[in-house]
Amino acid sequence: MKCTVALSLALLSAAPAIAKDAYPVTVPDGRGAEVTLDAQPKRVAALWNAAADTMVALDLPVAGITTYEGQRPVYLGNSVDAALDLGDITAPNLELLATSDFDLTIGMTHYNAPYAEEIEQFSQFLSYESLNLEVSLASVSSMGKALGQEANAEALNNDFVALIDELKAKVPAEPQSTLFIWSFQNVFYGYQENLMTTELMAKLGAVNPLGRNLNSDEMSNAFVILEAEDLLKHDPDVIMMFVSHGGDVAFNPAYERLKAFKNNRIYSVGYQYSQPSGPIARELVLREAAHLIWPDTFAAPDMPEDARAVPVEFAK
Amino acid sequence: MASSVKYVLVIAALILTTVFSLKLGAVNASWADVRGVFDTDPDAVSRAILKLRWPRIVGAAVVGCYLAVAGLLFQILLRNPLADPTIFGVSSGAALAVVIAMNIVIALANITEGGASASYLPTQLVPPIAMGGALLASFAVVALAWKKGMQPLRLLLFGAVLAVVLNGAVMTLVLSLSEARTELAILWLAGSLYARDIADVLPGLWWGLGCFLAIGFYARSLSALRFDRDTAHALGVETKVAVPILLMAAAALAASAVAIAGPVGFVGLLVPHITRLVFGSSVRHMLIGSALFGALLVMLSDLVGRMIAPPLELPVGIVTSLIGAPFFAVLIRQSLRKVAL
Amino acid sequence: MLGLLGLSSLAALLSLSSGAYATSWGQALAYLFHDDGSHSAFAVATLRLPRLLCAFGVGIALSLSGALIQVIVRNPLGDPGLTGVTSGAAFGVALTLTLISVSPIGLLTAGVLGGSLAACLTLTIAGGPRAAQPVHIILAGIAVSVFFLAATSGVLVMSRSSMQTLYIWLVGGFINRGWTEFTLLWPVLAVGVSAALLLSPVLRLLRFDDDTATALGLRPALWRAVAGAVSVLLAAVSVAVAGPLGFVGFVAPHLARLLISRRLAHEHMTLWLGVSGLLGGTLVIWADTASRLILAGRAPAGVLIAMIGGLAFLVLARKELSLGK
Repeated sequence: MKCTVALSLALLSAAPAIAKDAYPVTVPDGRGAEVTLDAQPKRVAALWNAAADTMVALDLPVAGITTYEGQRPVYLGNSVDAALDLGDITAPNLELLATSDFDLTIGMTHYNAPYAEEIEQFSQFLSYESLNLEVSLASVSSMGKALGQEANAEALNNDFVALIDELKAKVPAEPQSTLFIWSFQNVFYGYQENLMTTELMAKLGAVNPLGRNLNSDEMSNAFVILEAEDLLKHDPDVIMMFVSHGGDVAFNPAYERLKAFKNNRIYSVGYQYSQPSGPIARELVLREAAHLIWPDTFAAPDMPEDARAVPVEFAK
Repeated sequence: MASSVKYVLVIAALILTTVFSLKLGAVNASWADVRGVFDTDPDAVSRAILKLRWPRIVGAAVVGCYLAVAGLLFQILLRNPLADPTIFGVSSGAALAVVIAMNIVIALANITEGGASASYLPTQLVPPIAMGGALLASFAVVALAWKKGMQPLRLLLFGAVLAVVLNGAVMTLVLSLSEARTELAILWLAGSLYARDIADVLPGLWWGLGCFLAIGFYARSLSALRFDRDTAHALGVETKVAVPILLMAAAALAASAVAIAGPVGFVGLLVPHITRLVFGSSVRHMLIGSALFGALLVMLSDLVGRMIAPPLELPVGIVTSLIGAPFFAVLIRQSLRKVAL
Repeated sequence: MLGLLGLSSLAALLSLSSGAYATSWGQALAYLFHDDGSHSAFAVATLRLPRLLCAFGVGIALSLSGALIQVIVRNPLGDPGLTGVTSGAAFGVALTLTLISVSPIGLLTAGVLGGSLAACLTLTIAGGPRAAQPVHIILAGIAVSVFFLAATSGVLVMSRSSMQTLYIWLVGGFINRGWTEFTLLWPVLAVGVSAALLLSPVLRLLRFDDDTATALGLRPALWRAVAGAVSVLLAAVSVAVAGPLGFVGFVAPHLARLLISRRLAHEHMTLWLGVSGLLGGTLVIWADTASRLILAGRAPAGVLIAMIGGLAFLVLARKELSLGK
C-alpha cells in the first residue's frame, strides 16, 4: 500500500493540475451504461469496496461506504473512518444516500444495479462487477476517468501489471500448489482459476489444483464445493482460507494428513481476498500471497495488522 | 361505542401513522421538511421523503389492505378462522415464479452473452411475474382439492401442502443462484418494501381494485356464505358461481400484494380477527374494517422496520411475523376456551 | 424388510466407495476392518463412514419423529416440523453463529436447545400437556415456526451477516459431517428409538379419539405430551446434525403404511415404526449418496430430499385424502 500511495503522490506532484478540460466526461461503466459527468464529483458514495479502495489510492476523500459483517474494509485501515455508514451493500440505506448530498454513487452491478433508477434520482450512478483481473483493470480505469484522475488511474493499473511481472520473475522454479477456500462452518468453496484472487496467484506461478472452469466465465460458477476427502486428494502445499463470520474453523481428522497442516501452512486471510478488485486490495493480495507461498523469497507486505493473514486456529 | 366513532378513530390512527412515517426514518426530518414536500423545488430531505418514503407508505397501505381483505375472504369461504393467503400457497407460488424468472434471466444472459447487466431481473417485471405465479398456485390448489365441488377442509389442507412443496422448490432454486443473487432473492422472499417506487406499487394497486369490484358485486352473498352450503342455497345464493369467483378474487388480491412487496406473513390471518373484536361480525363492517386495520398494521411494521437500527432495515415481512405470531398464539388460546373448533 | 435392508446396504456400499479416492466395493469393505495407512483407507473409515452413519441415523430419527407426530395429531399430514422444532433449531444456530463464536459441539447444542424451546412454546400455546388438542398443536406449531423463522432472518439482518451462508445450512445436508457429529447423534438416537418402541402400545390407543381412549384407561393428553417430547428430541438432534431436512418425517411413515398395508400398520405399531425408521434411513442415505455422485456435491442432500419428497408428498397426500378423512 505504501508503494502505491507513494507512487500516486509522486504522479500527482508531477501533474499537479487536474486538467480543467477533463470535464464533462462520458464514462462507460461495468454494466455498459454511458454516464456523463459535468464536473468533478466532490462527494462520492462508494457502495462497492473497490471503489472506496480506488479513491483512497488516488488520495480522494470517501464520503460514504458500505460495510461487510458490520465492518468497514479492514485493509484500508483508518482512511475511511470519516465516511458515512450506508449499511450493507445488499441493501444500502437509500434515505441516507438521498440526503447526504452525494454527487456520484459507485456500486456493484449485481447488488445495486437493479435499483439504479432509484439511486439516479439523487446522484449519478456507476456500477461495476467483481470478476477477474481484466475487469478490475477496466473498472479502475473507468472510475479514474470519472473522478478526474484518468492518468493516475492508468498509472495505478500499469504499475500493478508491472508488479506482477516483477514478482513473477523472482519466483523460484519449483511450483507450489495453492488452494483458496471460502468457508462457512462445514462448507468449503474452492476457487478455480477464473476468479481474480486465484488468477493473481496463478500469474505468479502457483498451481491451482482445481484448475480453470472452462464452461463459462461467470463468477457464480467458478468454484467447487470441497469435501474433506477432496482436500486430501489435492493435498496442496498452501491453503488460504477466508473464514466467513470469523471464529475458528471446525477441525476435521483429514487435516492431520495434509502436508499444509503439518507444515503450518494453512492461513486465515482477510476480506480483501474476497473482493480484490481495488488497487490497494489487489496489490496486498498479490504481495501477501507471494509471501505466504514463497516466504523465503518475498517479505510480508506493509498492511494493517487486522487484515493480515494468520495461521488457522482449529476448534477441536 | 358506535361504529362510526370507531371508524373515525381508525382513520385518525391511519392519518397519524402516515404523517409520522413521513417524518421518521433513517434521516431526521423536521416538520418543515415534511411540508416542503409540496414545494415546486423541494430540498434534498423533502425530495427523499417524497421519492423514498411516500411510495413505501402507499405500498404498505395497499399491501396491508389487500392481504387483510384476502384473508377475510379466505376465512369466510373456507369457514375456517385460521386461513391465510400464505397458507393457501399464494405467496409460495409468487416467490417460486420470481425465483424461476431470476434463473431464466441468468441462463439467457449466459447464452446470449449479454454481460452482467443483462443477468438480473428488472424490478418492473417482478409484479406481473409474481401475480402469474400466485394465480397458478391458487389454480393448482383448487385443482388438487377438487372433488365434486370444493370442500373447505380439503382446500385448506392441499393449500398447506402445496405451500410447503413450493417453499422447498424455492429454496432449491435460490441455492443454485450465485451468492450475490441469493442475497437479493432472500431479501425479496422476506417481504420487503426496500426501494419500492410508485411504479412498483401501481400494477398491484389496479389489479386489486379490479378484485374489489368483483367482491363488491358478491358482497351480499358473503353474508350467507358464512353458513354451510345448504343454508346459503336456501338464502338464495348461487354458491357454485359465487364461491369460485370470490376465491379467485381473494387469491388475486393476495397475489397483487405479493407482487408489490413479496410474501408478507400473518396480515391476512390476524387482521380479520382483530376487526371482529372491534367491529363485530357484520360482513360490511368486517370488509371495511379489515382493509383499514390491515393498512395500519403493515404501515406500522414498515415504520418499525425502518426505525429499528439505521442504516439497517428490518424487512416488513419479518416485523409482521414477529408481531403477528404472538398475537396469533393469544388467539389460539382464546379459541381453546371456546372449544368449538 | 429384507428388501429395505438390501436397498440401504446398496446405498451404503455406493457411498463408501465413491469420492475423491475411488475404491471398489470390496476394497471399501476391506478398509473398514483393516487400515493399511493409505489415504483411501483413511477416507473410507474416517470420512465416508461417519457421514454415512450420520445420514442413516438422521433418517431413522426423522422418520420416527414424523411417525410419532402423525399419531399425536391424528393427522396423516404430520411432519416433525409441525412442533416448530426445526425453526427453533435454526434460530438457535443463527443466534450462536452471529453473536458468539462457538465450537461445533456448541453449535449442535444450541440447535437442540432452540428446537426444544420452540416445541415447548408450541405445547404451551396449544393448551399445555393436559389439554392439547391435535388441531391446536398444528396451529400453535405454525405460529411458532413462522415466528422463529422471522426471528432467524431478523437476527441475520441485524448482525449484518450474509444470509446465503446460513441458507446452505437451512437446506440441510451431510457434507463434512464426521465422528464429532455422530457422537452427538447416536446416544440421543438410542434413547429416542427405545422410547418410541416402548411407547408402541400406548401409541396404538392414541389413534382413537380422547373419549374412547380415556374409557380404555388411558390419559391421552399426558401420553401425547410424552410422545411429543420424544419426537421433539429426535427431530432436534437431527436438525442440529444435518440442518432442517424436510419431508423425510412425513414421507417415510406413509411409505411404510403403503408397504405393509394399513391394517398391519394400525395393528402392529412396532412393525410400522421399525419399517418407517428403516425407510427413512434408506431414503436419506440415497439422497446423500446421489448428491455426492450425481451433483458432485454442489447441492446438499437436503435439496434432493426436498424435490423428491415434495413430489411424493403431493402424490401421497392426494391419495391419502381421497381415502377419506
